[in-house]
Order: sequence, then C-alpha cells, then structure tokens
Amino acid sequence: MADPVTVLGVPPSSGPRTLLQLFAPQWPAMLRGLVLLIVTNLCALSVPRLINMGIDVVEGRAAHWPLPLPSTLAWLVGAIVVAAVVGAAVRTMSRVVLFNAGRDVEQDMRRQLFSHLATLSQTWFQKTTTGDVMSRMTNDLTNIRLLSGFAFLNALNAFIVVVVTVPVLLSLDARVAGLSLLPFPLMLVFAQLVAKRLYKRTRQNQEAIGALTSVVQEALAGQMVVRALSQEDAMQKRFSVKNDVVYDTSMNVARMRLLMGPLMGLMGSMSMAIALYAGGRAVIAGRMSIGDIVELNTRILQLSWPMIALGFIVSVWQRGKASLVRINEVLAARPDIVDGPHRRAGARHDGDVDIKDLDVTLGTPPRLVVDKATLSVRAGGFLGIVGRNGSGKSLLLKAIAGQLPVERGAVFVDGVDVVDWHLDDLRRAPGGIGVVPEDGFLFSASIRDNLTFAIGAVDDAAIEAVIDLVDLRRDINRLPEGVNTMVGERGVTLSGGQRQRVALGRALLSRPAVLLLDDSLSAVDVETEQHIITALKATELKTTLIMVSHRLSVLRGADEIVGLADGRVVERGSHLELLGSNGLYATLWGEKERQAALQARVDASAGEAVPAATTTAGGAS
Amino acid sequence: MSATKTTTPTPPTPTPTPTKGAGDARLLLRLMRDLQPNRALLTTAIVLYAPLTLFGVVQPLVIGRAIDQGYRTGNIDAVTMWAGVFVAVVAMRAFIEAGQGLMMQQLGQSSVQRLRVRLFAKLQRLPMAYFDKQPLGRLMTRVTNDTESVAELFSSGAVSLVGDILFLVGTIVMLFLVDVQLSLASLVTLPPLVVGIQWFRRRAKGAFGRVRTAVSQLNATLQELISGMAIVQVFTRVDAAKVRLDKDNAAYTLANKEAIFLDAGIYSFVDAISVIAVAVTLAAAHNAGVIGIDVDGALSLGVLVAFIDALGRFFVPIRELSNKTTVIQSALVAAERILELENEPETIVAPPSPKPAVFNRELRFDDVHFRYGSGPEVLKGLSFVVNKGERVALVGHTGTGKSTVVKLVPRLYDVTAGRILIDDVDVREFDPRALRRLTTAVPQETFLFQGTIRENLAFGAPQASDERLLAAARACCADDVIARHGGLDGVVTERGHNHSLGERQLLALTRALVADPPIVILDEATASVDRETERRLQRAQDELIAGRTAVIIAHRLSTIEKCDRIVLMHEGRVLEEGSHAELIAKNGRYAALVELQRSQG
Repeated sequence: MADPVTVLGVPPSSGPRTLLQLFAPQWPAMLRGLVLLIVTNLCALSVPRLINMGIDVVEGRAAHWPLPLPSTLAWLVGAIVVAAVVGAAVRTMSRVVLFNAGRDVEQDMRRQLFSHLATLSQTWFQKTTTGDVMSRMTNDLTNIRLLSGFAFLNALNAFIVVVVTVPVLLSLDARVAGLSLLPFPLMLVFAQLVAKRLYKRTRQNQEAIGALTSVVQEALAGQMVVRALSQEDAMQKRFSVKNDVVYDTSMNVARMRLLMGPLMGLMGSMSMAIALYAGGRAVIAGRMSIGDIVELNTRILQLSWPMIALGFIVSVWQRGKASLVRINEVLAARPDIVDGPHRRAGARHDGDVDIKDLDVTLGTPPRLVVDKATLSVRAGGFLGIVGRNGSGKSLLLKAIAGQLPVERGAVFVDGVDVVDWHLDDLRRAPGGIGVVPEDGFLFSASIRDNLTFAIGAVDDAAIEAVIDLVDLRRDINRLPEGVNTMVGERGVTLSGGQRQRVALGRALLSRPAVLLLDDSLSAVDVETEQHIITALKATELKTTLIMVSHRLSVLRGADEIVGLADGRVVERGSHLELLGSNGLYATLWGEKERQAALQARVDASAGEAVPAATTTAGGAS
Repeated sequence: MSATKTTTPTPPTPTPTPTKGAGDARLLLRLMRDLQPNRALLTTAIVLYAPLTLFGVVQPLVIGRAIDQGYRTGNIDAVTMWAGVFVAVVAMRAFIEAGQGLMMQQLGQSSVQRLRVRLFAKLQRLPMAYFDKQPLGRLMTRVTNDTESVAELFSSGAVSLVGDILFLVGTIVMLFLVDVQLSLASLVTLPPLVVGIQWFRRRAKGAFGRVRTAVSQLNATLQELISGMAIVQVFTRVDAAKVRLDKDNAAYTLANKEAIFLDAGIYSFVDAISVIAVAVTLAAAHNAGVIGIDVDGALSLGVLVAFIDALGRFFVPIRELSNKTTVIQSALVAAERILELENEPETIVAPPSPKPAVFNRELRFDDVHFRYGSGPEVLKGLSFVVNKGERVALVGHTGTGKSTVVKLVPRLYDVTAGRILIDDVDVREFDPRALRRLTTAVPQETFLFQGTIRENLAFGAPQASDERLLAAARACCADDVIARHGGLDGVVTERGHNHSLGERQLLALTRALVADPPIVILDEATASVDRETERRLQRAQDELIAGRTAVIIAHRLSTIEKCDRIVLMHEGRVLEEGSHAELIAKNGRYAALVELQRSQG
C-alpha cells in the first residue's frame, strides 16, 4: 500500500499483496456492481409498497401514489410487473458482474502465484509438499474470491436493504415496527456465533477427511504387504477408526447447521408474530391499514436474509484474511537462484564444465554436504561420479544445472560462473544443459509430447532416431498407439525402466551441449544401459557427459571417474587406475559389480541360449 | 539392477465413461438402498414430512384468520389468539424441522460411512492386478472425494427435495381450497415458470458438467506442474507451462462464469415470477370484488392476504433449484463411479468350500505360466518342487521372472495357466487368508506403515508380546535400530522415510520373523547399502529362514551357497536344477558362475 503505483491498479511483479491491491484492478466492475445493486434493491424494495397500495384499492380505500399517476389497480399491477421484470434483469446483471469480478481476481491471483512459483528453486519446493501448494492455489484462492463475490455483494446488499427498509417500516408505524424488529439484533449476533462455530467444525471435518485419505493412501500403496501378511482386517479397522471420526465431525457440522436453519427461521417468524399482534391492535385502532400489515410482513422477510448473511460475512472475512496470509507466504519467498547478466554467445555451449572448491551447506542444523569439491570436464568429455548414498553426487549435478544456490567462483560452464549466467541461456535447448533425473518424471501426455517437451516441434526422423538410441523401439511397438500412447499421470502406465528411457530421450532430443545423468537408467538392466551409453557417445552429438551411477561397469568408458565420500573428492582417475589404487572405487567395484559381472560371464558362457532381446528392463520379473 | 520391478507395463486404462441418461433413477434407487439398515429412522423422517408440510402450509391461513376475525371486526382477543396460534405453529415447525433434519443427516452420514467401509473393503479384495492398472490417486478419490459428494446430498439439504415437493403440492391444494378463482388466476404464471425452469435445466446439465470437468482439469494441471517444476525449469519450459496453466485457468473461470449466469438468472427469474403472481392475484381479487367478512363462498380480505403470503412462500424452494441441481448432479456422477468400482470383479476369492490349509510335504510349481495383464508372458512353464524344510535358491538373470514367484505363491496374483500346489492341493482351493498364514512373502521393496515400530513389527501377528518382538529384533540385528529410534514406541513416518533403506529392510525382515510362517518366500534385496548393513541383513535373513521351508530369490552367491538346492531360471523356465555339487558337476551355467566367483574371490 505504501507504493502509490500499486494502489492505482498496477500490481508489482512479485511480492506480497494487500487486499486492496488484489481488488484494485476490479474497481470498475465493483462500481458497476454497486450501481446495479442499488437499482435491484430499489425495484425489490418498492414492491411491498405497491402491493400495500394494491390491497388498499381492492379494499376500497384510496391508495396513496407517491407519484402523480392515476391510482387504479391497472397502474399498480403494471408497476409491480415492471419492477419485477426490471428487478430480475438487473439482479442477474449485478450478480454476474460482482461474482465474475471475484472469479477474475481468483484467476489473476492463480496466474501470479504460478509465475512466482516458477522463479523459486527446488530448495523451496523441498521444504513444502505439492498438496500444500495445491491447497494454497485452490482453497485459499476460493476464500479470497468469496470476499469479493459473497462478502462484498452481501455487505452492500445488507447496507442498502437496512438503510431503505428500516425508515420505511418506522414510517408505517414506529411502535409496531420497533417491536417487530426486536428479534433482528439477536439474529445478527446469533448468525455470527453460528458462522464461527460452523467454520471451526467444518475445518475439523476437513481434517478428519484428510486423515482418512492418508490411511487409504498408505493402505493402497502398501497393499502388497497387507495381503502378504493377511492384515486386511487390521487395515479395515484402522480405516474404520478414521472413518468414524469423519462421521462424528460431519454430524457436528450438521448439528450446527440444523441449529441455525430452523432457529433463524423461527426468529424471523417471531418477528412476524409480533407484527401480527401489535399490527392488529394498530389496525383496530385505525393507525394502520391491512395493506400496511402485508407490507410490514414482506419487509420483515426481506430483512431476514441480509441479517443472516451479515453474520457469515465476518467469518468469510476472517477466512479470507487467513488465506491471504498463506498466499503471501508464497509470494514473499525470494528466489535463491536468479538470472545473471551473461547471455549465450553461440547457438550451443562448447561444453566445458569446471567445479572449483565447491562447498554446499544444507539442512537444519546446517551441514556441510559438499566439501571443497573440484572437478573438470572438457567439451565432449565423459566424467563419471561414484560414491555411496548421500555422498553429494546429485548435488554436483544440480550445481551445474543451476538448480542449487552456489557461491560465486565455484561452478563454471564454458568458463562463465553459473552465478553470472542468465538461467534460460545456461539451460535452453538446443545446445544447453540436458538433465535426466532418476525418477524419470514424465507429464501426462503422449510419449511423443514427452520426448519433444524441451524443444516443441521437431521432425519425425529426429524422434525416431532418439527412440532407437534409447532402445525404446520394441517397447513402443508393443504399445497400442505407439509413440502417441498417453503415459498417464507421472507416466504410471510405463514401467520404471521405460520412464527413465523416455526421460533420457527427452533430454537427448534437446541436443544438449552438457548432459547430466543422475543414476538415470537405474531401472534398466546393465547391458541395455551400457549399450545406450555407448551408442550415445558415438553419435555426432558431441555432448559433454557427466554421469552419476551405482553401476560402475557403465562408467568404464569414462575419460575420468571421480570418487566422492562425505562430499569430498577422495580419488580420481580412469577405471583401471582407480581399480589399481585400491580405494573407494575398488571397494565399490568389488561390492556392487561382482554379481553383475558374474552374471554377465554366466550368460556369456551359456552362449547361444541367451537372445539379446530378453534383457530389456521394463519387463517384469 | 531392479529398482522398480513392481511396476508392470500395462496399456493405458481408458478413463471410465459414465453411461448417460436412464441411469439416474437407477443410481438414486441404489443410493436409497444404502439407507435400508436405518429403516425405522428413515420411516420416521419421512412420516415427519406430513406435520412439517402441514405446519408450513397453515401459517398463511392463520394470518388470514387473524385479519378476518380480529382486524376487520375489531376483536382484540381474536388477534391475540391467532397470534398465539401463529407462534405455536412456527415453534412446532422449527422444532420438527430441526429434529427431522437431524434424522436425515444421521441417515445420510451413516449410509455414507458404511459406503466408505464397503469401498475400502472392496479395494482390499480386488486382485493386485487391478492396482497395476489404476493410478493410486484415482482410487483414493473414489473412497474419499466421491463418497463426500454423495454425503453432500444430505448435508446441503438436497435430499429435502422430497419435503419441498410435498410442500409445493400441499400449498397448491391449500390455495385451491381457500379460493378457486384466485388459484386459477395465479396459474397464469405457471407456463412461463415451467418454460424458464426447462430452459435452466437444459443448460444447467451441460454448464455444471463443464465446471466439474474444468475443476478437475485445472487441479490435474496444477498438481503436475508443481510436482514437475524442476523439469519445467531445467528445460526452460516455464513460459510453455504458464501458457498451459493459463488455458486451464481461463477455461475454469469461463465455465464458472457460465454457471454464475445460470445461477443468478434462475434465481432472479423465479423471484420475478413470484412477484408477478402476486400482481395477478391482486388484479383477480379486484375483479372478483372483495366482500366483507364471513360470507360463504365470497372472497374476504383475510383470504387475499393469506393467498399473497402463501404465494411468497411457494416460490422459495423453487428459487433454490440451482444450488440443489449442482449438488445432485455431482452426487450422481460420483455415485456412478462408485458403482463402477463396486462392480469390479473380484478374481482372487476363497472357493465355496475351501480345503484346510496345511503344509506337511511339499510346495510344487507345475507348468506355471504367467503374464501381467495383457503384457508378454513372464513365466513360460515353470516347474519345480520344494520339499518341507528345504531351502531353495532361485537364481537367474534379471527379467527371467524370479520376483513374480514371490507374488504367485500367496496368490497376490493368480497363475495364467498351470498350478501351484501345496501338498498336492492347488493354492486356489484354499481360503487366500489361510494360505497366506502358511506362507509369508517378503518382497524386495520394503514398505513400512505410519505408526510405531511396535505396530510395524507386530503387523503380521498383532497379538505378539513386546518380548517376542524384541527377541525377533535381536535375532535380526535390528535391536539397535529400534533403540536408536526410541524403542518399540518409536515413530515410523509415512512409508518409513525417517529410517534409512537398510534400517527399513532390517525391520521388514524382523516383521516377517515375528509373523512366524512355515514357508518363507524371500526376495533378497539388492539395493545399495553399506557393507556393515549388508552383513546384518545377511544374518537377519539367515535367522528368518532357519528351520523353515524357504524359497529365496537370491542375488548373493553367499546366500545361494547356503541353500540346499538351486533352481536356475531362464526365460521363465527352469534351466538347471540340483544341489550345489550336482550343478558344479554338470559344468553348465551355474558352474561357470561359481568358477567366476572363485577366480575373483
């Protein structure tokens, strides 16, 4: 709010927002809605008086037109119909205008939130869950939308109705009106109390549903174990316990609603009963006409809903504010990796990568997870990285791809500090950095769309070539729609090995100058991985290859292999040098590769019985 | 070399397309059937609609009487009396309304509670093969979100539709009883009302359907883009991602704006009709001429006022039509999907008269064939025997179907052809649960449950004492793991993520040991752990198979050498079989394998 520009409706590119800033772009719509709302209410609130006059005419009394018009029933009926028709049209418009404005705010906020999320690095995403971010981008935005739609409309509406109705009622007969309106303040207070409790109970109910959901998730994910140990009944019991809580909390919500509905109705009816009694005395005393009584009754009804709505507005307001805080938490997160000034000069990187004395500190409490790591690969080279779990291998790859905040002077691509690189230019395909994560994350699109994800349109020949390169040909031929087969959410319909190979194909189609493989083919069997890597190095795509793998045999072809332990480079050299030096690499080789090597020998010794086709991963075993 | 072997390649599942049209009535009936266990409550709730309608309908009449007998005659006592009657009527109605509402809620929520239990039980009975085809998220949606949509029918008051209809009919009857002439006149408003509602219904079906589609599309896109943000960023596709989100975001807003228009339109329209109905009534009354009081067959002023009041009330439930339509529609869609799940065939069930599950002699694979779904055949005529007390190692190349064996014996999957026999009885002739008490399968991927270490260790034997759990843990070298995590009450987070991979494996082996089965089918873990952990795992494994009949999918030669017999699998069949010595003498594949081991040893 301090910045005058934002108040005028030009939101800042990022950072927290105030409610005023959120709704500022909508002020013309709000204003239009306000005008329409006033017209609507003028129509709606004139009807009881017209009916009052109509009854007077029917009764044979002189109707008192406020306007210089003939006081015949034909005119009155005409006026009522006009008020009804105009009122309906304008009411529709007012709701459309105000509710649409709320939807526009919601849409706009969602877009801004997503744009901001896209600037945040994985450091931030790892501190939260997808579910939490989702909830902020859906439920919290709903609460904010309700502020502009429900709360704004009903607050204005209540204001107009009260301002018009109360004086009119008092003008009919101050005493009767005053008595009849007695239950209303009570109604307002009561509605507010109920709304508060209702919100609390609804939240408890939602939490219970959340707890039930996680039991279901766990039971289904672990269903194999549940069945192997015959624990279906125990699981069913666990489910039932949570399910009973859902029932209880649902009933709590229901009870509160059932307290509210009839009780609010009762209070309105009590107001009418008072009007019936006190009004009757006034009619008999000649102070009021029967038409006045009908008008009184109608206006009491017209006042009821705004009173109830007012009670709920407080709750909607509080929820909206709380949601804004949660949304602002996201908007306030500062990106820890930002664009530098350096743009890429040529179409492609040359592909030189250097890491000099890189330190990385992570976690709470902070721990040094990469300790003075140093390595270099020249353009077109092949570097292998080995080490046990948690030795910091993946972090080195993330540092190169600009996915990890690093100090200046530690990581260089083509001789330029990653801190100085414009991130898009550092990564952009073709000729940028290709990354293949171990989980082989795919989007729920066709295999073709996943393959071409990084580059958009590409000719079929290139796709076909990559399919052969990553050994997906046979898998794709087996699929119902070949390369156009949809892979389901996160690629569930593919096996782990197939997913990994599609993810590798995706990176290769982007023709990267530097390719980072993070145990990217762990679900593919050794021979196939070996075959793919060899083929990959033989292509004209002279990419620099940096590869983390638990399979040391695949790294045998590397120009250099770096051994990592506790974030430190403990040894480096070629496969043969490291085997000879009897260090970490030799140990790992002994532990992990003996079995694979044995099996390879065994298969070879069995000779003709082993068709090459049988070993492709992705088949179940 | 086998990180994700539980995922099986399957053709993409077509999204179930609900059958449209005539099904609605059938679905509603099906939902109603779930209310049966509370029949008494249901009957009471329905019976209570009678006084509820009555007390609603008479209110305008009371006002009319007060006017005719009190106001017009100057009789204050009559005014007082009728005002008193009015208070009594509205209080009674409020009271019944609350009580009846509570009954309906209880009916609805308890039926939904039972529905959830039934669905969850159903999921636990469906064959594992079903889970290979269905994304987890979709199944969870069935059990929680879809049942919640059905519950909304009750919590939003959409089931009060019955009461609404009764009220409308009651009001019409009352209006005609009060004055036929005015009633006929106000019927003029009926045709436009019907036309308007028809128009709304036609458009609402599509519009609210589009909102639902847009919501799920937007959520799916958000979910995917947020969880895949690293990929989006690293491939510099942020702009493309924004375009994609913008598209779904805009479609969502557009669909909602259409619904807003319909919602506001129908509400305002019905409201206008109700006002016009009053105008028409006034005109009709004026034409008929209102005659004094208590003249038989003539229209009194009180009657006119009662009539106008009743008309106002008549349109209230109709005005709420839009809200209720939305709720009912989504409940029907949800019910359709729930029904689909309930109709899914259960293929792995106990036979009508299961054989007693005993194991005295042998476990036999007899020409077993198996494929996952419509995938390629994994086992192609596998035959071997395991005698009681024998430990058999299954060895062979990755992808020869070894791990599948683990899932077939306890009937997590059924063979495609051939038989698996325990003491010459086909495993399909046992009750699956009894069968699974005979055999414990330890899959390669360990899965721990959220809760305590105690709950996890006692998972297969809930009655096991702490002493037994700790003894098993000691035998499996898992005692210090437990100590480190706060003893048996130590917390296990979702999927055991607060334990390292090696710790999880040790706990899983302990869990199997506690279950104490006569037959163990063990898929030896190959995941990378350090040497010390590996040594412990070996010991735990030895402990588990000691004194039992065991089939071990062996990856380590040291494990293989400890077994009595070796079955070398290749291409889903047995290639070599025999004791270590026999196979060495045969000088085939196995011999080559051992020779290599020695040369490197």
